[in-house]
Parts: sequence; structure tokens; C-alpha cells
Amino acid sequence: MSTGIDSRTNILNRLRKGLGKDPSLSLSDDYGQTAHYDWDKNQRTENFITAMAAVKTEIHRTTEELWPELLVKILLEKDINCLLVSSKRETGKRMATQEFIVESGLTLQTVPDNPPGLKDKLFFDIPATLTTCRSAIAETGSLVLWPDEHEPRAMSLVPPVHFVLLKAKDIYNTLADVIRQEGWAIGMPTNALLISGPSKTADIARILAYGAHGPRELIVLLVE
Amino acid sequence: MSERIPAQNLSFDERVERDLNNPLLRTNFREAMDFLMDKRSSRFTDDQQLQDLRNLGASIRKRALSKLPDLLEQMEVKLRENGIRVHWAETPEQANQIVLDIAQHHGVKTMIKGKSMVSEETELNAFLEQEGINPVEADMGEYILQLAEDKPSHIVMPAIHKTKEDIARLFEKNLDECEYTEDVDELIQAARQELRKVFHGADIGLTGVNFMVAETGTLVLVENEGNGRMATTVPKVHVAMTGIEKVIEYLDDLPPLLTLLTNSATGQPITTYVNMISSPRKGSEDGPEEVHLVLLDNGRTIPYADQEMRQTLQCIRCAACMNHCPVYTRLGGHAYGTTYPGPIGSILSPHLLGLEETKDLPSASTLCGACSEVCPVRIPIPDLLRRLRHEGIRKLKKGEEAVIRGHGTKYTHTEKAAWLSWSKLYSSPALYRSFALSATLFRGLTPSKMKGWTDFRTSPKPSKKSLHSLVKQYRKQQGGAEL
Repeated sequence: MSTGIDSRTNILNRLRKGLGKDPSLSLSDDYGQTAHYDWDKNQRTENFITAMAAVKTEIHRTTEELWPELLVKILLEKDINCLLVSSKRETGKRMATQEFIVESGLTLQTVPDNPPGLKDKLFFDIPATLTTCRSAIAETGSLVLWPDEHEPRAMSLVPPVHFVLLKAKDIYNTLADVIRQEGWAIGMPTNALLISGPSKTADIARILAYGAHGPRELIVLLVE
Repeated sequence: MSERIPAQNLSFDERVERDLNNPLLRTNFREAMDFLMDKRSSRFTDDQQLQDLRNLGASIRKRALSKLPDLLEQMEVKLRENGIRVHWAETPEQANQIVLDIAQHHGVKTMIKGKSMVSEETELNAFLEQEGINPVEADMGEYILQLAEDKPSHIVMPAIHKTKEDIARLFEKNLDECEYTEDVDELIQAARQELRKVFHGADIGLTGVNFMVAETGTLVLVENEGNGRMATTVPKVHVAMTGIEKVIEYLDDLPPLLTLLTNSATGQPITTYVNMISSPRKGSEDGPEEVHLVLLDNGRTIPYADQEMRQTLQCIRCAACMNHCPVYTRLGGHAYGTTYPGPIGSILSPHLLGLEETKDLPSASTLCGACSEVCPVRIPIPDLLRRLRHEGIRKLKKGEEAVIRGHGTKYTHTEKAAWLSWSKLYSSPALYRSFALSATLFRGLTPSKMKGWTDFRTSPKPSKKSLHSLVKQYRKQQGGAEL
């Protein structure tokens, strides 16, 4: 068997030989286009909500002032008594100052400094998490997350319920707009994620079931 | 090793016979394909928009392929800068060995797998099992097939041929604490619990890749379940495996292709998760400490060398061609006998396996054109099928370079002679007239049994008078001019 370096050379040589003198195409040779939307802020928000709700995401419209209280109310309704947040994010900071949390019987846990150690907790203990998101997409109803050490990847994946705090001003029309306007091509993070609804599958007889491997519920607190 | 399904060593005709005579299978596929076609068409309501988007999708893929070697090198540099290790494999054996080496280096016993058709192509699971490593499929469909020791019959919905009763029995037999139930929610939860244990303990995760972005060195994975995210988040090593053709030039090329992929595949505006991975974990982030990318050729460089057949590599694996194919819908995926079934399989597999192994596939089509009408990146599948049919009966001229393995594998002297006579007959009016005359005069001698044809149809008997003579007669009656 040839070594990896040989394989690389052989494959590239075969491709170059195969390409021969065929011209290489550039962006200016592209034709066709994607859909274009002239939505104002309200339309964007409405379209986002419609698209997300269509895939069984719970959306609660709220305000800067009221969202912590609303969150606690939803948690109690769902019989969830423990929530994981990041103390370094707006979510954790705000929740920590809410006096009514103690009365509600809710336990607030924060992401430790060494997230890999968090694994067992996420798998076995934590019933729900609250994360921030970077932005959102109206066309497809997607949340954009760039997980990091404060809000690790597993936080939006492993526990059964995922709450997300989204500011209406951060909603873009399309993914293309997000990528361009936020300058993603200049530097991508370790992991960039689009989340559009709770985890699901139709692999058994095309019947839709939620909570396949990720969260069974996705709940968005939309701050307007 | 080949990527052929060991379909009980049946021939193509025997597999077709077997599956056509399975009414349950046919109902499953008919209903499933109708469902997927409806889902797709409900999303593409504005035809102009769809055609514009398909044009763009085709442009992006053609542009990437027009500079594929450069893009692969550019991407490799970027991936290395980002800390992702790149491996190149010419054959399935090499690809499997690379995965094994990585696993053994880490002393891994269990591998959790996200969905990867390329790992099906290389038959990675069987290879790893021989080497004492336990691969566990985590995509629900693939998990079901692994338990059933079965193979995918569709590239997007691999277990589409299984009924929920099949799966209920399978889970009852194989899963701890799972009683027989036809409740799909309960079945999925049972599998989730079982697979969670594996995710929690696995040290290595393997996935496929939907797109690789050369500009940023990013691997893009598209999925609904979260198994791909789990496999790329929880274990300390992530190995991604894909074909060399999956690269795109710019990050800006991604959104239109994503839109085309998910809408064409399942009629979703987007999948639940779009997972973009550009490096192993940094600092105290979570995620794998090591990320590897295995790039597989396995015959892809063969169609690449021919401008027309290169278009095969534009494919983004949405399976819309399968969903809309009247032949696939009636047969299902297993009859094809290859990892990639349906129209795309019939134009791709001959390159991966050679025409000797796949000589029946280019003819397993009515050339109705439904596949090319829905293909999101405008691959002219019927043209490529016709081209492969031609290559299959054409012997290479002296000094001519092969464009595929197995030129002329379907060539027979009888067929050659038949077409030669046909061409002589139709280019000489005198010969043609005498042929027509004898065909009508001796019509009584037409054999009543003709191999293949008369199994399901009556024998074709020439009419008493040829069309020419009928027209002649008609003109005479009308007093018109001679023909």
C-alpha cells in the first residue's frame, strides 16, 4: 500500500491530468441567483416566528425587563426545577440577580470553568439550559450560535430542554446576510451552529418524532 | 474490497425480480417517494425562483470542480492552519486503514458514527469489526439497519424499506428494557437511551461531510437528529470521511447549496442542525481534541477526467433523483446492488466499481428525464446514462485512452451484427422494400416465443400490409401523386 503522501500526490496528479487545459471558472461565470427579500424589521420578526413555529419551536415574545420572570414561569409550568446558565453571559448575570428565583424553588447552576468536566452533569442531571445566541435567520427560522468555553457546544445539545434568549434586532433575513454582514469568512469559530427547532427524526416509517438525540424542546425568548 | 452489497450473490435481474415481487416493499417505496415528492414541491412553489437557484447551484459546483486540485490544496492548508489533520486515500482499503490507525493510536474500542455514505462505500464497519473495534451507528435509520444487519436502500432515508412493525420486533429483540411497541415516539426514545450510553462512553466519533469550504477550512454537516453533533462534540476524537469532490470555494457558496439540498431532499427550508466545524477545541472549550479529515478518491478521478462525465461529481447527495425516478420507486434501493442507488448511483457507481461490475445500471432507466428535471445542480443524468451505455458497448480504438474501467463490457457480436444489418436495411431503399415485403408475406412464421419479450407480452406480428403500401394505396384512391 502506498503512503499517505503518495496518495495525496497521486490523487492531485490524476486530477490535474484529468483537468488538462479546461478553463477554470471564476465568480463572474456564475449565473442564477437566490431569493431576495425586502422585509422590514416587523416582517422579519414575523417571518422568523412563523418559520420557527412550523418546526415545533415554542416562541415567547417578551421584553428586556420581563424575560427572567417569564422564563421562571415557563420552567415552573413545565415542572423543571433546575436550569444551567453561563455566569459570564447576560443570561446568567440577569438570572443571578432575580430574587424570586429562590422563592420559586428553582436551582440555578452555572457552567464551571472547565467545561469538559461538565459532561456527566449534562448527560445525567441537568433538565434544561438557557443560552444566548449570536443572531437569527428569518427565512429559515434558525438560531445562530457560536458556542465557546462559557456556553459549550454540549449545552445546546445534550439536556432535554434548551432555552435561547434572542434579541429581535439580531434577526437577519438570510444565512447569506449573516455570513456577509458579520464577516464570517474572515475568521470562523471552532464551531458555528444553526439550530432550527428541536431534534427530530422521521427515520421510522416517515413518522415524525422529536427528541431523537438532541433536545426534545426548543424554547425561544424573543426580546423585542 | 468493493462497495458492492453482498446481495446473496444474486444477479441484477434476480434482484429486480425479487424486489418487484415484494408487494410490501413496493407499497413502502411508492408511499415514501410520493411523500418526499410532495414535500419537495410544496417548498418550490415559484418556478422562476427555483430555476434561478438551480442555475446558481450548478454554477457553484461547476466552478469548484473547474479548480478542484487547487481548491483541495488551498483547503488543506487552511485546515492544517486551523489544526485539522488531513489524510488522503486512493482506495477504500486505504481510507479504512487510516481510520483504524487513528482509532488504535487512541486505544479506542468503540466508535460512535454519524451518518456517512462514504463509510458505507468503504464498508468501514465490517473492516473495523474484524480489527476488534466496535462501530455503532447513531443515525436512527442506520442504527436500525445495523441491528438488522441490513444495508441502506436510500441515501437520505436509509431504513425507508422497514415498517414500524419490523422495527418494533427488532428493538424488542436487541434493546435492553424495550418491549414490543409500534408507538414511534417510544421506539425513538428507546434508541435514544441506548445510544446515549454509547455517546457518553465513546472516545471517537466518525461522520460524513456535506460540504467542505476551501476558503475557511470548514466542514459542514447537515442533519435533523443531533447524532452528527453528538459524534462531533462528545468524543475526544472526531474523524470526518468524505469524497474529494465535496469541496466548495467560498463560504458565500454555502447558503444557496444548503437551500437546494434540504428543500430537494426532504422539503425542509433547513435541517434542524447545520454544524460548521473549523477546528478542534481551543483552550477550555468543549468538543474534540483532535479532528481528522479523510479524503477519498475511490474512482472519482475517473469521471473527473472527462468534461461531460465530470458533471457526475456536481452531486450534493439530496436523493431527489431517486425520489422522482419511476424505476427506483418500483424497485427500491437494494436491487441496484450498490451503495448509491437510483439515477445518481447508476451514473456514479460505474466509475467507482468499473462497468464490468455495474453493466446493467446505465440501462436500469427509462430515460424519462424526471431526475434531471429535479436535480438541484442540474446534472444531465439521462445524457450521462446514455453516454455510459455507449461506453459499455464501445471497444477502445488503438491508442485511445480509457475514460472508464470496463469499456465494451456489454459488447456482443450479435448486437453489433444486428445493428449493422439494421443500418444497411434502412440506408438502402431496395433492401428495405424487399425486407418489408418478406416481413408481411411471411408474417405467419413469426415465432410465438421470444426470450424476455413474450414473458409478459404477446409476440409482435407484422401486419398484412406495410405502412408504405397502405399509404401508396390511399394516395391512389385519392388520385394523388405518387409518394
